[in-house]
Amino acid sequence: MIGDEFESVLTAARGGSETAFAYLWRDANPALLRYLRVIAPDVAEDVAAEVWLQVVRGLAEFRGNEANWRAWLFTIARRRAIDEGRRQSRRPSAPLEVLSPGEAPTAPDAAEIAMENLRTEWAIKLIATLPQLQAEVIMLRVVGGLEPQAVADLLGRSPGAVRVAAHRGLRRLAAVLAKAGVTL
Amino acid sequence: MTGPDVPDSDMLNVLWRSRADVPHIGDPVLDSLMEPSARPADAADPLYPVAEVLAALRAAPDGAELAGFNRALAAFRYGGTTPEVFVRPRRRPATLRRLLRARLAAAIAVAVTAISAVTYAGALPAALQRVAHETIGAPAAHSNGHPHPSPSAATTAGPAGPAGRGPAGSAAYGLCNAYQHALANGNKTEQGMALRNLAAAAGGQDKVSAFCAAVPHPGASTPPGNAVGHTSHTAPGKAVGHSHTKEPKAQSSSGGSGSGGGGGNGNGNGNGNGNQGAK
Repeated sequence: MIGDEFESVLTAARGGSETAFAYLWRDANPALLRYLRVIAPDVAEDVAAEVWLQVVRGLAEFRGNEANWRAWLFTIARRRAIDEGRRQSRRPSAPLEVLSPGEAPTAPDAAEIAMENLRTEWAIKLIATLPQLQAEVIMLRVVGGLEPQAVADLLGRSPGAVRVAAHRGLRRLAAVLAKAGVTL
Repeated sequence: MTGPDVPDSDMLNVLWRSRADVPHIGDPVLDSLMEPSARPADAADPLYPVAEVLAALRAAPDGAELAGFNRALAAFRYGGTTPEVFVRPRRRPATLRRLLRARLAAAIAVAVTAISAVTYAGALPAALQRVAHETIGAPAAHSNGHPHPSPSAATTAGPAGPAGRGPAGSAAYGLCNAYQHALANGNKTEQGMALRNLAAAAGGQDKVSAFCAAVPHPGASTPPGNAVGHTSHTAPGKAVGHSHTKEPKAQSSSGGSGSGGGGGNGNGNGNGNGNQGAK
């Protein structure tokens, strides 16, 4: 999240500042990719690139604050993923045993960055094992940083349904992790 | 055994049983878990692993997640149209692709070798000799079909390239340049953005100086052939160009067609490798 500077960054990007655009991109692209890796794992990078193409095209018309901005990005990402028509290609995720996170670092330091990335990778795959709506809601809330109302708008569901899906997903995760005896 | 009159304990429900292992968790607790400020350490015991998973989802980006910037920047520069270079052909399965690439390289190698051997021996009729000579010596028309890949492969491989591997791209140069420009002329916001962009590429604010010191000026960058060579995946094309052609002209144009074939591949891999090294 960019925070207070967002408006000036957006204005600068709209004015053609590559620095500002780089800043916007760097802030949001990892989150977009992680979300896409849950809903369109095989084409996440390509869809993300298409999202930015569309963002660039629509930048001049975009109005709103950072929350609106994030919602806009994820809305485009979701539409593009659906357009690709490849969500069916969503592969069944590898079983938990295979994806064991191993010994988790307690205090992340430079030497453990690789492990940290593995953990993120593993977490994304774990979320992808949830029913689609639950997985999507959790990704949009946690990784996308969207408010429940924004998630509801984006998914075309009621805020209540979104909230219930999130709770179910998290409870299910808790159960799966407890059953697997995973200690992170 | 399922049904309304069957006791819960007799129900065949895996989920039910596993849920029974976990104490009931209230909705507000789950909501707070998803807040941006949530920390695993604050999570109650049964939720601690879940909080850890969510923290891993929010973890700082890794290099690969920041590798696609050149594509986005190109879109930004071209106002939302993708330059041809960045349109990736639909991917074939990796093994098939590798096989085809190997076969293509082999075919070219065989053809070039055969033609050069015969040609240099002067054993062909004059007309054929001329055609063959033009084919080997001046495949410029062919390489013109891919005017962009060589320079762009060089620039896209570079910026993601870490300081340690000699970043040679215009984007890396641009980041350093933008920062210097912001320091001289920009306001605080511009300076902050430029520094953070640069730090992300360099792998930390403390590495910025070393990173920029290793970035050559684009005008002084290595020749395309060499720069493309950084992306080791274009090696087959390069090998063909160098090992079977004798004339300098042929060398450069073969290099062009070689990187044309491996261009898309080079972009992707160059970025990925570069950033892994940058951390």
